[in-house]
Amino acid sequence: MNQILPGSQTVQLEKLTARPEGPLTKIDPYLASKLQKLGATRLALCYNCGTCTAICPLSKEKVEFPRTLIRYAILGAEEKLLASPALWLCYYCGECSDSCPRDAEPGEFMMAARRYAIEKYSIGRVASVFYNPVVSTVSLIAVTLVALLGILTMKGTPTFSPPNLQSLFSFQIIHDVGLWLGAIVALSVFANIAIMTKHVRFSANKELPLFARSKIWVSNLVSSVIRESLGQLDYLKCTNKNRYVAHMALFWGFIGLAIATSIDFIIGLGKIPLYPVPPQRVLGILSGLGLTAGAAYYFYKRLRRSERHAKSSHFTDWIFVTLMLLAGISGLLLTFSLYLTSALAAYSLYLIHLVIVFDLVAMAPFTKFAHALYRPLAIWLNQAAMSYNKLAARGPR
Amino acid sequence: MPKPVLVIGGGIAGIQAALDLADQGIKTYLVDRSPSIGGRMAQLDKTFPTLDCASCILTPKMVSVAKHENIELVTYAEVQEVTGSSGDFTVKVLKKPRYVEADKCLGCGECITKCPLSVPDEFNLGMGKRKVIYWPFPQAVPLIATIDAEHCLYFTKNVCKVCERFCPTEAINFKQKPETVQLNVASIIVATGFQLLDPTLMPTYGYGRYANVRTSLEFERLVSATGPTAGEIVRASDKKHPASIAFIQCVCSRDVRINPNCSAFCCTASVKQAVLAKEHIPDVDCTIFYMDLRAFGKGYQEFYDRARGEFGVEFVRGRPAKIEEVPGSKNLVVTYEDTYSGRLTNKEVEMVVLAVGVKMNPVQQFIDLPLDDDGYVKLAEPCLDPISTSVDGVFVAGVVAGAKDIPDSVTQASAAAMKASILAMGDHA
Repeated sequence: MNQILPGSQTVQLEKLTARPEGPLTKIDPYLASKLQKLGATRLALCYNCGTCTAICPLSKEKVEFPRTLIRYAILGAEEKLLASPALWLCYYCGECSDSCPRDAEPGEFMMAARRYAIEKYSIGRVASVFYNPVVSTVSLIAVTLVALLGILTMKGTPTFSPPNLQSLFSFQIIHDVGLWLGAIVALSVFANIAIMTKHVRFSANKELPLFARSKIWVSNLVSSVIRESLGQLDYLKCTNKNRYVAHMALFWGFIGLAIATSIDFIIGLGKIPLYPVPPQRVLGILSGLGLTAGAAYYFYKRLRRSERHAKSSHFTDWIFVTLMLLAGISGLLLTFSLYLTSALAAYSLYLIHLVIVFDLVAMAPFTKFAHALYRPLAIWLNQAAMSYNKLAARGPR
Repeated sequence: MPKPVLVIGGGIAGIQAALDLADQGIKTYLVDRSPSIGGRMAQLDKTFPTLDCASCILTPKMVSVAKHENIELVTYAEVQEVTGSSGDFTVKVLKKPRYVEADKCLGCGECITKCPLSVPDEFNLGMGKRKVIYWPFPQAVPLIATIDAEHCLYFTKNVCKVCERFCPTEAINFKQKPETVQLNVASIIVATGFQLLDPTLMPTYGYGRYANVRTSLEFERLVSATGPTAGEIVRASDKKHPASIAFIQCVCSRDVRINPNCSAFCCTASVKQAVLAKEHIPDVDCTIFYMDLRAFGKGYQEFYDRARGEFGVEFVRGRPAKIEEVPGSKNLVVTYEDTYSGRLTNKEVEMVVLAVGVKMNPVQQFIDLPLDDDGYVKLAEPCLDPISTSVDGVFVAGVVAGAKDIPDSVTQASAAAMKASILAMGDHA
């Protein structure tokens, strides 16, 4: 049954009246206001012109953002939003916000949507705790107090010349706490990975089998995930290259510190001499410098609000960047005070450093830090789905 | 006797207002700053939605103005100062020297033929050339030659005077001086029209950098038989017909960074231009990129339907983010998201036409009219009196009161004529 409209446009009425295929999308009418609270304050101004998507250096065919995602948010299509790996492909260069004719800040929307996703992807929605300013502050203090009390109850008898961290309390305790913390964080990470995979796989790329096509998963892990995680080359497509340098310094600083710490951990902390300076300590100092410099750059930019991406900072941005910066500074100062045999400084810095690192690591899967997990995962899921679809389009062999 | 009325601006709105006033027996001054009346409409090829030839419906009105016994046409003149109040305004008008005696010039054009120097032609937006002694277009009213003193060899280098030698009626007078006249009028209609916004405010579209990116008004001159190419739509880079044209809407309109207003007529104007392109080059591929197609007037929706169905104009909902030029071919790659499918796409076309937004011509230099937040003249009562300004006795018609198309401008002009005539009649009504 066809109907001729004026201007001889033919419309198939069956098409207009047909029920959509597949499950219906559940609508959350409060989604937009939830995202507004997380920072997307100008979301409602969008009139869907698509300039943001077309100007974005990272948006590409079949992985279009931000406009599509803004549309989901305004319609309340929460599942569609959470199913979009595109959320994590954005590096927030701010070109979208600069060219938006409505000044609707699409870049800030992407940031807010990632905050929302971190909440929703976390096991037991634990992350919601850290995205409420009051509860978050209380929990941060609580976690800090737990760490502090834990350390203080294990007080030893510190020797003052030369300072010996071992004498403050046994490294065995640090070792055990570290292992427990690591195990809990790892479990949370695995749970969050599973939740995100479920969201992304079972809505956007439903056709991708999780186990059947292991070759696709493996080849994409190497070709895109590892490459993008280690090199972050997509970041270079943004106009401002300084941010790339800062992020790489921070990222590799963190990796370097993790390696140095692991080596110390395996050898046993007490058995490492000050002189001759062991190689892992050289690595640690260099990495610490990188991490501190990177974190300082981001801290400074947020303070100055001079660039698009740093114009509006959510409190979670401040907590993350501040903890990162303090961890770097306290770690470096601790090392220097040990070499200067300044005992009082060494012991107090040691306490501060332990507490901050504990805060940072314990909250990692539930705070902004989790982007380090979701970004590579999103790239992986997205790339695998793309190559699977390409393969499927070619037909059975 | 009713008191006279002044109409400032001789575009279609000013023409209509002047004719309606004069027909009521009211003495009307029509002042225009350019050598001829006609305004923007004279630059258009066809008008929507009827595809009437713009000149064919405008020129008779222009001639009526010139012949009307109650209209005193003051062209090539600037209003300098308005004093007084409603019912009794004193207006100072500066008549610029044409260096041609108006009562002697026959409009034969001999001087124009003989003039040795050509300069870029404003009427064709610099795409063509005109002589230094000229009229803006062949249907100019009044048909009196004007010397452009800024370029004339006599004024710049004290040589030439060829026009003087060849003029059969000795109308050329290099000694003419500017002249100030004072008018006493009961009421004033401001119909000073608009200018296009600067398309380089959208640098990503490359206007000025890419040869084949044109504004909608330039396209109008290209497609017009009286234009620089005699109606051939050609690319600036190679003078060939484009095989594909992209029309981009809302350039410098509906953009908070440049101009938040909608310019009202561009949507249907671009639909019209795409149809004209199809008529001129039958197999040309026309795509209109839009955010919302605001074809709001009588017959406009049907016109859009025809463009789509009958003429095969393609419509894409998406605001292009950037245009890049292909080095060799000088073709243009438009990057956009088709927001109906959500697909990010590139399209290579041979010509781009930017539907550039408008702003009113400034009036503050001669009349102290408060402006509204949108940058147009503030209306006394936008809903029930969208004709009166906040100054008693001063009325508006056309784009000076907000962007609008020709039918709406003419409607407002007639309304303004009525308002102005009430004051002019005074006790004589």
